[in-house]
Amino acid sequence: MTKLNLKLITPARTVLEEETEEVVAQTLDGEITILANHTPIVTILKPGELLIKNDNKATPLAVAGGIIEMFENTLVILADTAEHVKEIDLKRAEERAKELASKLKEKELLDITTYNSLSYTLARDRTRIEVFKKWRK
Amino acid sequence: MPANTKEVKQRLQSINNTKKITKAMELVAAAKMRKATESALATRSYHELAWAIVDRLLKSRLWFDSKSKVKRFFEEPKEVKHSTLIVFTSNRGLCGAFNANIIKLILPYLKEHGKENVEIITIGTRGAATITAMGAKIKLAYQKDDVAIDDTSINQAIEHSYYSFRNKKTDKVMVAYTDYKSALTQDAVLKQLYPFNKTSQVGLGKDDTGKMKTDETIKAPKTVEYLYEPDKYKLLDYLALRIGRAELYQALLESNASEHSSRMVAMKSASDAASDMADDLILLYNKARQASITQEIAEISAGTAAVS
Repeated sequence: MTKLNLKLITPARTVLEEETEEVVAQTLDGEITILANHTPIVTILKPGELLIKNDNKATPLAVAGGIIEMFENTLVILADTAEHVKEIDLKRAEERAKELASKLKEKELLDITTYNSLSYTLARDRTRIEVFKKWRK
Repeated sequence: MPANTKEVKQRLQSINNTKKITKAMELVAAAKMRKATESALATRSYHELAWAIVDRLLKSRLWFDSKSKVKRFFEEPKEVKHSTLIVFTSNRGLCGAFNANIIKLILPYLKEHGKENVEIITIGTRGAATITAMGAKIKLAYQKDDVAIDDTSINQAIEHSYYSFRNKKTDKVMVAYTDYKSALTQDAVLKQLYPFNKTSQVGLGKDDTGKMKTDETIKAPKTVEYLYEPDKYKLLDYLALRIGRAELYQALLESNASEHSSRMVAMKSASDAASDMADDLILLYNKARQASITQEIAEISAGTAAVS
């Protein structure tokens, strides 16, 4: 099967740079699957699960929002954070999600920028929990 | 020559004390520089790829509805009445010409566009103080994160500039920051953030030959037709804010790396100067001491000569 070049990059590090067969990502419009030689596309990545399939093996990752671009058989995924399921610290994510949720309850006190960034972080932690529960248990 | 050994000794002491302080500051700056440089270099590849996407979009067949608000982000304005200037400086002084270089850079810009037409956002308190002293008004002022762990300190700045550009309150958004080249060279640069153009990229490391470093992904054929999801306008709008944030964050990291290395160099030369001065004073002190001994011996022998 022909493969595509995948670059998964976050501001902190290059998470993955490899050839793979199939990538399944969550976008604003829903789930998309990208195979080799997909037509050029730009789309918005939603916090959620990112599946990388290669040689009948699936690697699940939890990603936060970002951009996906496919161009000349190179798939660039720019995500704010990306973690392999093995790297997820469930306890920490749960604690933080709880704390954020309680902060967000007092939303009258927050300005719009803080509110947005808090709810964005919350979505990120909830994704971590979700992906962890799906693949580790 | 001051024959007073006590005076010389006191000066020597105070110079040595100063040297201890500058040495300590040098070491602190060196440690911070290492961290700041690491994070600036780590985000460069993210940032380069983000920019490569915009670059490819600019080269693709991009056309807009005339009513679209997103259009502004991708086209040069016909005239620039109001502009926004984001200035990165340090929070504290004693870092050589770091702040002075930035101020020197933005002065011509302010003159050209008129102080009253430029809305200034400062990140770093030093710049805020100097700009106010020059008589320009500052719209928003933030502290700069000394060691930035995330983009919280620039979040409000980018959102403000994004919305005011989108709502046509400003025609251009510029960023003045210091580009980190190496521990010894940093360049103050003024770059255009919105609308996107070919010079907007922040922190593009040039190699020693002065040639641009190019990732193989940056080159693109002229006519690419992209598929946009959910739809073109929503996507480009999202992209404009996001890329803007990535650019500003990179500018922050580059500034941090530059600030700490320029402070380190400044403190190193201060310590060196103190060492030189102390050496001279020790010589002076010994000469004065010797002179007084010689004089005392002369006095004693003159005394014995008179008695005998």
